[in-house]
Amino acid sequence: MRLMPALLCCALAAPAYAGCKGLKVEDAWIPQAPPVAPVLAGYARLRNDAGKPLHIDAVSGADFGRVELHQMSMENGMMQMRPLKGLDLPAHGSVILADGGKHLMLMDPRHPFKAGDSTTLTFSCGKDSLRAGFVVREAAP
Amino acid sequence: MSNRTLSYGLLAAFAVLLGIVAGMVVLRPGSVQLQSGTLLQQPRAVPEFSLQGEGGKPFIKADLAGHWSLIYVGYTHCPDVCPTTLAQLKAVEKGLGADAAKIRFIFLSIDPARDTPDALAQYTHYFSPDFLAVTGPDPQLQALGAALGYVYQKVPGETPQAYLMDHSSALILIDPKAQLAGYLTPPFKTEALVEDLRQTMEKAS
Repeated sequence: MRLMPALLCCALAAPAYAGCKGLKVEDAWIPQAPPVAPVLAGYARLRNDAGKPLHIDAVSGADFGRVELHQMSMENGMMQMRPLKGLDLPAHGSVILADGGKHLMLMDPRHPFKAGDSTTLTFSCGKDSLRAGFVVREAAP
Repeated sequence: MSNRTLSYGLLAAFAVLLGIVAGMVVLRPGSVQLQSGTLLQQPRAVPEFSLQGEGGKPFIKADLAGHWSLIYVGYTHCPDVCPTTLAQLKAVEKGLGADAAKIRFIFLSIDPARDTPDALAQYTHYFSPDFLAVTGPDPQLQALGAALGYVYQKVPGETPQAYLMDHSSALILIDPKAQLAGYLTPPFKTEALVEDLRQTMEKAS
């Protein structure tokens, strides 16, 4: 019984998330859109190579006024989009950001983007962060 | 099981199958079988409406007459599905070849607060200079939606300007008499859309 408080203390104190350690952003791209597009999409494969779960709570980029994570879904013929409160990546797991599913919403671009242009986005995991390059393309890599 | 029971069983199964096939034939008399949607058995009249095209120019029911129209309902603050669908419609326009002259592609924005007619036109023409960009006051868009069968709804976002619009995903087909002819529904496949449109326009002419 004397062990109980000690175990409880450690279970609570154990860090569930380990910052961005293990996070890999692969095949990151932005589908080419009209120069006047007020919003662009960001797609990638997010991999967690670490043995601990990882939580991305925000994404930002100097080239955009605001970046949000969204989930697209089709409900009874209705196209719906909902903002997500971050993303959970299980240990050694991955999440795909792609057309018709979860994706980055890159709002208020500071300048028009054309195929071949690139930009850097910052993924925040608590106090830690990871920068990743995204390339504008006509089709998926 | 005796042979006779087996025969009766087979006979019953055959009768059920025949019934299903007959039902399918009876329920769809003379309709064009589309790969990616449905045509109404009786085209439905569209009421008068008053919207705006490029430069704020009026866009009214008469603008739908004399050619086929394919209406896509969306908005420019939609980064995912809307540009993908418009790019696909551009491929459909190309796939139709000479038949593309018989049909107009219309991007109808249900977000007039952010999509001014000119910004919408610039956005739309990026995909094809032939595509029409149309929007208008909310009550007009709602009324036309009731007639054409599309719905939309504003969903609050994380900031007042970052709101989202839920909207119907079907493409709405209008015939040259400005009547609602049918719907093409996702997932869209370019070849199937081209084939469906070509067949529908051919059969009606």
